[in-house]
Amino acid sequence: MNSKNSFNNWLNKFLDELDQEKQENVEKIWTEAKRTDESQKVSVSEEEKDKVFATIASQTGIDTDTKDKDDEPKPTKIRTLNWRWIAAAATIVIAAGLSYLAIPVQYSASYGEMATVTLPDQSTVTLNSGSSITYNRLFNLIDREVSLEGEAYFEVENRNLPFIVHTSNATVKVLGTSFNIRSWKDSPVPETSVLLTEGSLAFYPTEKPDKSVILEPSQKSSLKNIDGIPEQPFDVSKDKTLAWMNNQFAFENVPLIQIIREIERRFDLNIQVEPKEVLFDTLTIYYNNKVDADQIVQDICQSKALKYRKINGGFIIENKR
Amino acid sequence: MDSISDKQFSEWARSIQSGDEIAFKNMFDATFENYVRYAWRFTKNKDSAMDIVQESFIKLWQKRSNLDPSKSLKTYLYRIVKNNSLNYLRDTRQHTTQMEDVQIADDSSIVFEEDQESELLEPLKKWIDELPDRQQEAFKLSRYEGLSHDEIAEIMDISARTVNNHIVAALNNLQERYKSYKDVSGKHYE
Repeated sequence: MNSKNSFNNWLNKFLDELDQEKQENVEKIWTEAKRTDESQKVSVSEEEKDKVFATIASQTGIDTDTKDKDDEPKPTKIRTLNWRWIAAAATIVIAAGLSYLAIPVQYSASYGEMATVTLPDQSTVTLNSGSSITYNRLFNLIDREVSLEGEAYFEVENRNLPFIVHTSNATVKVLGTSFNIRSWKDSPVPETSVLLTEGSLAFYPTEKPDKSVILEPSQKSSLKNIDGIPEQPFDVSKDKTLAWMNNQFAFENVPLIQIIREIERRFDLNIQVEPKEVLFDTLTIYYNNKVDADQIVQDICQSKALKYRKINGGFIIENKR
Repeated sequence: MDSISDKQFSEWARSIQSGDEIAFKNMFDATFENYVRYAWRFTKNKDSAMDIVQESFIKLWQKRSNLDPSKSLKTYLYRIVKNNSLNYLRDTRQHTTQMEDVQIADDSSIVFEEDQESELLEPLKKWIDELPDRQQEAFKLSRYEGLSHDEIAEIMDISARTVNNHIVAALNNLQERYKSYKDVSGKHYE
């Protein structure tokens, strides 16, 4: 029953690293854990389901034409089948025409690299390591919208169409201007921060455009969570935020975990931090000149009273014993 | 829900996006109970869980034109249900705080139906509930919902690698507790 074959790859990989006793413990826990899920006791009857769907239908105007008359369900099925064929045929025709346009364009900078992309409207985007942007093929024709994951510096050409950047939780809207956005996927909650260098821009939670703040040059604002509101913009030195573009390294009051992830991306390394309790301590770190990963890791360890050792392709940071 | 293939979900996504009401109903029929159970984990109340999932399906239909067939419809709806559940908890918090004492008293009187093999069940459940929030969420999505790391990554808005770190940390954590539990109770499990 607990044959390893039924386990996922990642679990096998994890189990392989353990001694036999731990392996058995983990297998036992994994098997038993399923049974601790009390929600399995919750069940929904067909009646309850129908009632809920009726509410949904009345609120959305859906008419599935299946009023579920138990005495004669068959005619309904035949009718819906015809309807589905027509819908399916229409979908195929439309899908064939639109499928090319529906394939988005994506550019990314791999770990250890940066990339500069010129968009169809001649705006340029400089991508920090491990970041990507996506836009659709109608960019510059019907809209100028891009999605960003990670960090990038935008220099936007002035056009009539607004230029819009979406992140996991926020939206930035401008006409022509230059700005930096940071929105990494591995922060503990969805978070986006924007620094404006030239022009002006509007920054708002994607779900609540009315909660927008307007930034002036050299101002910064950030937004946490899906349902948060943007922080009041404040003046900052833009050099620190834009340090990454000159291969410099600067973070002000940032949790260690995010600094570690940035080192991993910038230098294409893997860093394991053994004492988990330090990961959310905040740290300010700034180098004026080009710096290598060894130096940064060494300085972090010194400030946190930790030690580190080099392994193939990265570092292990551990407690001083 | 493990039994519903990714392909099925992406077919539904495409049909729903183009306004196919039947596909919407089919998906509702096939997945409603599962999402209710997921919402129940937040609310611990079946009626509110059903309300939350009802609202989530309404939102799915209203925003159907924004569906991205290249992304997972399954995790998209998980995210909506999760957000709605959290909103529900936030909105009802004031009312329930007074109730908490009563509920805790109730909980302690629940008697677990135990068969001989499942002595581990009650402590294990407690250990899982005491895991750090993010570890707990990743672990439950993996074990209870049977989701892949990539799917969990989309729901939690983190990378798949971070998901793996959370789950591995959770298992390490549970393993440690199990080990000391065995040592203390002096019992042996196979």
